[in-house]
Amino acid sequence: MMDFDLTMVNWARAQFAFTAMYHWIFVPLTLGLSFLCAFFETIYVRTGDKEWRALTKFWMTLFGINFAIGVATGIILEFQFGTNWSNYSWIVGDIFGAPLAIEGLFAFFLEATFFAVMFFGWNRVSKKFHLFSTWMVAIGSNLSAIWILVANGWMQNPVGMAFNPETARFEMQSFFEVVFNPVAVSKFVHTSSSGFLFASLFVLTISCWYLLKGKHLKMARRSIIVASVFGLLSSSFVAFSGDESAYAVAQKQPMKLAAIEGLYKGETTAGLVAAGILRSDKQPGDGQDPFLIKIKIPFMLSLLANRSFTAFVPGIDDLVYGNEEQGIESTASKIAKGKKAINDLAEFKLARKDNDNQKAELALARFKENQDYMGYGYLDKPEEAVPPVAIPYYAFHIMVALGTLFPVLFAAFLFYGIKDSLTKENIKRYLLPIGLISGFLGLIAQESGWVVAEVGRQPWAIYGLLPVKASTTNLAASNIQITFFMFFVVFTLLLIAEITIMLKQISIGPEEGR
Amino acid sequence: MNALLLILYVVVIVASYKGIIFALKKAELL
Amino acid sequence: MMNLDYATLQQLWWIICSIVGALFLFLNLVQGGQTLLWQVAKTDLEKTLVVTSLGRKWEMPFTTLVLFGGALFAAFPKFYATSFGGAYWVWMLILFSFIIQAVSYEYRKKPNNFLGSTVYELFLFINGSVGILLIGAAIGTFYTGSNFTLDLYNRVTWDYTLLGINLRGLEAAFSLFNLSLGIFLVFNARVLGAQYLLNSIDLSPTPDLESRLRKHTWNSFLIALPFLLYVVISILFMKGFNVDDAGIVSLVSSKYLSNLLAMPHLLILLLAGIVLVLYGVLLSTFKGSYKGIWFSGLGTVFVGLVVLCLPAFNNTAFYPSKLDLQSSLTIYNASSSHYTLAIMTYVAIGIPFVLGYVVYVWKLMDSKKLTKEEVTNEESY
Repeated sequence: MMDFDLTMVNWARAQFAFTAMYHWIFVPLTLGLSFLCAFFETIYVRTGDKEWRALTKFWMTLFGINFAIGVATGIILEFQFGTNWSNYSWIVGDIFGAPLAIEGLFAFFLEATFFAVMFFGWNRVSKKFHLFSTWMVAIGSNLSAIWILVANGWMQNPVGMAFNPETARFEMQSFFEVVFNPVAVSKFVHTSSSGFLFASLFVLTISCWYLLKGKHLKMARRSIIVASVFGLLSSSFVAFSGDESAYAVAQKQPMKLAAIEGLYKGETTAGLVAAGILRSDKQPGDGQDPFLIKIKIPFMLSLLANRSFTAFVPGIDDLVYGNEEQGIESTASKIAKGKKAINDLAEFKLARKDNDNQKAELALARFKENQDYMGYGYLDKPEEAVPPVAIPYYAFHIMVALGTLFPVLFAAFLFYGIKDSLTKENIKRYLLPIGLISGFLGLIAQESGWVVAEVGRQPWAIYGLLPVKASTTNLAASNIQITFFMFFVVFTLLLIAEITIMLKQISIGPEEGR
Repeated sequence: MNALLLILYVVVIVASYKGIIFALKKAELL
Repeated sequence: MMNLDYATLQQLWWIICSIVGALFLFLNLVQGGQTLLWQVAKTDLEKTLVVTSLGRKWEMPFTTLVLFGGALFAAFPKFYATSFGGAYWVWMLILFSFIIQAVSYEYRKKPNNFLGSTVYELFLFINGSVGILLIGAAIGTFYTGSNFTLDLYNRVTWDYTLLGINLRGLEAAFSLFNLSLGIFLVFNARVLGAQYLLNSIDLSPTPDLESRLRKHTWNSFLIALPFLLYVVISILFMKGFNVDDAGIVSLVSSKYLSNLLAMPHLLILLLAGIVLVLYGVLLSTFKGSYKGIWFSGLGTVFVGLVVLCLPAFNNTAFYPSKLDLQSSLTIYNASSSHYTLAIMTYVAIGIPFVLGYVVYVWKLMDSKKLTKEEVTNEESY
C-alpha cells in the first residue's frame, strides 16, 4: 500500500499537466469567441448589413479552426482519469464521474449539434434559427465549463461525500453540496469569464494587426469596439471573481494561499506581497526570509483571506509545524493519525475478508477516530504537505499583474475606438503594439491561472484526503513515457497545423460581400 | 455569495451586448 | 428515483449505457464513410461531397463516445477504473485515433494546413479502421474475458506479458472472437456510411459516386456477414462467466445461449436487428433506395443493444477476468452508490430531450440533400 513508484507518478503528472495545458490553449478561446460570434451575428441579424455578415463569418472561421483542436485535445482528458489515475477513479468516481457524465450529456451535445448548424446551416435554416444555433454553441460551451469546474472544485474542496470503509471509496451524500460548492461556483464564473476576456484579447490582437497593416480598417474598428466592451466588463468581473476565488482558497486551502503568497510565518494584519523575488534555497522551518526583495501592501492579505484587517493568516511553517496559539494542528500529528487510520482500515478489510466480524467492528471503530486524516497517512514527512512554492507564487503574481492591465487596455481601446482615433500616428505607435501582443499576454495569464490551481493543490489529488502519489494506476512508468512522447508529437503537429491555418485565414481576412 | 456571482456572470453577458450596441452607435459604426 | 431499489437502478443504468453504446455504433456511419472515402470518391468534387456530408455529422459519434465514457465513469466507476487503467494500450490507441479524426475535417482543405490533405484523409481512415476495430475488440472482452486482478482495495493489476512486455489490453486482438467483432463493426460501419451518403448527397451530378456507394454497401455487408455469423455462433456456444447467488464466478457452458433463452426479448431484438440490417442493405443495393440507412441503422442499434446487454444480465459478469475469476465485474459490484445512481437517473430524464433536439436538427439540416453547388460556393470540408 505504501510502495509508490514515484517515477510513474511524476510521468503521469507530467502527462496530465501537458495535455491539460495544451487543451487550455484552445478552450478559453472557444468559451469567449462563441459569445463574441453570437454578438456579431445578432448585430448582423438586427441590421441586415452584409458587412456584419462578413465580419461574423470571418471570426467564425477562426472559431471553427480553434474548436476542432479544442475538441481533439479534450477527449484524452476525460479518459486519462481512468488510464493513468485508476486508483483515484475508483476511490472518488462515485462523486467525480457524475459531473463528467452531465457535461457530456448536456453541454457537449448542445455544442456539437448546433455547431453543425452554425457552420453549414447558413442557407439551410432560417436566419433566426441560425442565430439561435450560434447562441446555443456559446451556451453549450460554457455549460460544459460548469461541470468540469464542479469536478475540479470538488478536488480542491471535497464536500458532500463520506468515506465508506466497506468499499474503501468515497460516496456521494449530497449532489447539491457538490454542485454549489463555493469553490466550484467562484471557479466557474472566474474561468468562464476569463475565457471571455481571452477571446476579447484575441480579437484585439488580430484587429490591431489589421490596423497596423492598413487593411480591413472598418471591420477592425468594429471588432475592437465589440471586443473592448466585452473585454472591459469581463476583465472587471474576472478580477472580482478572482478575489472571491482567492477568498475561497484562503478558507479551504490555506496551504495553497500561503504558497502563492510566499508566506511562511503566519501573521495577523498580514500584508499582501504585490511583487517580490523568492529566495531559491528557502525551506520550511529554516527561519530565512523567503524573499530576497519584496513590495508589500499592508493589511491586504488579511483582508483578502478573511475579510478582516486583523485576521491571522497562517503561513507554511504554521501549517507544517503547527501553531498552538492559533489552534493549528501540526502536520506531523496529522500524519501519525493518518497512518493509524490506514492501518486500522487494512485490519478492517482483512477481518472482513476472513469473516471475523468482531475484529472488523473493533478495527472500524478505531479507523473512524482518525479517518479524516487518512490522506495524511500517506505522507512520509510533514514537509511533503507543502506544494512547490515558487511556481504558484510567480504564476499567481503574473496572472494578477496581467489581470490588472487588461481592463485598462480595453478601456483605452474602447475610448479611442469610439473616437475613431485608432489610426492616428501616436495611437499606432504606442497603443496598437500593446494590443497586438495582448493576446499572447492573455494566454500567459490563462495558463498561469491553472498552474496556480493545480500546482498549488499538490501534494493532494483530493485536498487533505488523497495524495497524488496514491492516486495512480498500477502501471510501469515506461508506458506513460511512450504515450507522453506520442502526445507530444501529435499535439505539436496539430498545433503547428492550427497556427499555420489560422495565420493564413487571418491574412486572407474577411471576405467582404460574401 | 454563490448567487451573487452567478447573477453577475449573467449580467456581464447581457450588459456586454447592451454596451456593445451603445458603443457602436456612439462610434457611428452601427 | 430514490425509491427505486439499488438493483433496479443498476440494471437501468446498464441499459442506459448500452443504449448510448448502441447509438454510437449507429453513428459510426461517419467512421464507415471515412474508410470508404478513397474507394468511392475519385474526383475532387466527389471527395468534397463525401467529406462535407460526413463532416456535418462527425461530432455526433465523437460526442457519443465521450458520453459513453462519462456515463460509464458515473454509473460503473469500478469498470471505468479497471478497464481504462488496466487495458491502457487498447484505450490509448482508440483515443489517439479519435484525436486525429477530430481535426481532420476542419483542417483537410484549409490552405496552409501543414500536413496536406492526404494526411488528414489518412487520419480519417485510421480512425475508421483501427479505432473501430479496437473498440470492437474491447467490447469482445465482455465475452472473452480480460487479464486483471483486483486487490482488497479494488486496485487493478493487469497482467498479460508477451516477450517481456505487458500488452495491457492489446492481447484482445489475439482472440478470433474479439477480432471478428471488431472487423464486423468496421464493415458494418462502412455499410451505414455508404447508406448515409446515399441518403444525404444529391448524387445526380455524380452517378459514378452513387453506383460505387451502392456497390460498397453490398460488398461491405458481404464481408461483415461472416464475421457477424462467427460472433453470433460463438456466443451461442462459448463458455460464459456465471455469477451464482453467493457471488462466486465460474465458467459455465453455453452461458450466453442460456441468457438469450432466459431473456427472449433480447433474442427477438437480435433477430429483428439482423433482419433490419439485411433489409436496409437490400434496399440500398438492389432497389435504388436512398432510405436504406434507416433500416440498417435501426438494425445496428438493436444488435448493439443485444451485444452489450447479453453479457450483463441473468447473473453474468459483464467484465470478466480470465486471470482471476473472482475479480470479475458485475453490474452489481461495479456500480456507483444508490444515491449517485438515483441522482444520475434524474439527470437521465434529460436524455429524451437531448435526443429530441439532436433528431430535430438532423432533420432540419438533412432536409435538403447536399449539392454540388453548395460545396462549390459555400462552406465545405
